[in-house]
Amino acid sequence: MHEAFGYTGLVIFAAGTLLGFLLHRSDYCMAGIFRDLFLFKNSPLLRVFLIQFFVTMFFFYLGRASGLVELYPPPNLREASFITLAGGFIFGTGMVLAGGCVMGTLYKMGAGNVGSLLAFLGLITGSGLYAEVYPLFFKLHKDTIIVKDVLFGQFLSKGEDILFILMMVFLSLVILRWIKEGKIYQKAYADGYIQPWITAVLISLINLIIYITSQTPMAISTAYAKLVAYIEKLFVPLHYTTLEFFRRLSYSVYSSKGDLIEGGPGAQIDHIFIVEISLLLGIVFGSFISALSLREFRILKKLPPSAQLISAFTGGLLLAFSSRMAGGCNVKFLMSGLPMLSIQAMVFLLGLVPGSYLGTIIFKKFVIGDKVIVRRKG
Amino acid sequence: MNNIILDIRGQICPACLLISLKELNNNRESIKKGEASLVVLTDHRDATRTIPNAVTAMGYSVNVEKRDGYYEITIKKER
Repeated sequence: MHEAFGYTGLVIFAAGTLLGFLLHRSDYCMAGIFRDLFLFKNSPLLRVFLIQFFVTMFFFYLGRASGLVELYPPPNLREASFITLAGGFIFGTGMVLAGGCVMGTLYKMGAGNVGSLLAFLGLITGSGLYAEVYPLFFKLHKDTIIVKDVLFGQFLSKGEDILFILMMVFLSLVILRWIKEGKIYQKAYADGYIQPWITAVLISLINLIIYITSQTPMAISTAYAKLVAYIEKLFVPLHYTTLEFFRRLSYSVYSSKGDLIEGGPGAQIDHIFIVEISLLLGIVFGSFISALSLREFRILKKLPPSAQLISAFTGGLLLAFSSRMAGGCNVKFLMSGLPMLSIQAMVFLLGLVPGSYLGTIIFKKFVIGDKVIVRRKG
Repeated sequence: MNNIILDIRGQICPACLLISLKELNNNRESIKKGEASLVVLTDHRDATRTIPNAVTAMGYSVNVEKRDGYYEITIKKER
């Protein structure tokens, strides 16, 4: 193993630990952003997410301007296809059913939530299922590519800076107005609560640190595929070798210093292992520390109703399968890709919104239903 | 006064708010008259934001106390 890998892994594990801590303290749930818009016609977290989008865009711009961010577009973004759109749609549904996104599942599981543990197992299972059908979906992706450019800025060439300035000015005005109207502050009674906007700004900073350290912005879902690869290699080694999915590379490029940046879903220590597995472990650990320090860690103290457990597992399965279809999850697309105006991220979001709507309907109808047990006491 | 206890510890998002609102609706008459209060037990941190926000907007008064590893949200008629 390259010695720089160890350093990168440590930095990302530390960043992930801070991230897990913050996510737990603010209960920063991306699954809620669109779901609450459909359920309650009100989504305060959507405003907070726009702050994250704004700050990340600004930080990435600084990173590029200073030369600290070298690979732009990053190697883990690709062209958009109709499979990206379909993936986004299924992802939206899965996110509502799982009760959290790919990252939300990790911090909730770290704090001892059994539903999220089921969603985690669903994510592992969904990644394994996708490995079986990968050649079909990869062909469909190649056949339905919408546009060859990865970033919207590549369309515009010199107009990119003007677009950036216009967006910065517009978003600043909108956010300033929200601040004036008191729409950013969230009143919550949870112990040790951190305002979500603070977490949003810090996630943007963590994302920049990850981008500078690893040459790729924050991403996480291939880590689940890698975990499956190790499980299959251990228990069904012959079958493992027959799967093309685990043999392929997601990316392979050289940095300006000549370092090889290469990784794939297979069971090997590569760039994805160092970056995404370290981040995954960090988030679970950070959230565990936060919950423990608040005396809020609980596991198997009380199980949710079986309908919620089934929903969480199914949601997790859909999240993983659709992430692999689309080539990433909400972390890579909404937190990293969208602020770079990645076309793949925009297409993913276009599918995700109606998908969340469908998930909301399914959750209300089949998961909540009418089975509420109430104990009365005088 | 009757305390209607709704124990939703361990449940996933957004079930906490939906179930609480459903229970509040089922007991609207007695809570509005001040004959009963709804006490929600939850270990979901975000529910300490979403439930008080929703019920205060509906004209109820709310109080949140931290218990042993969970939160107790009491919803009563407006004072």
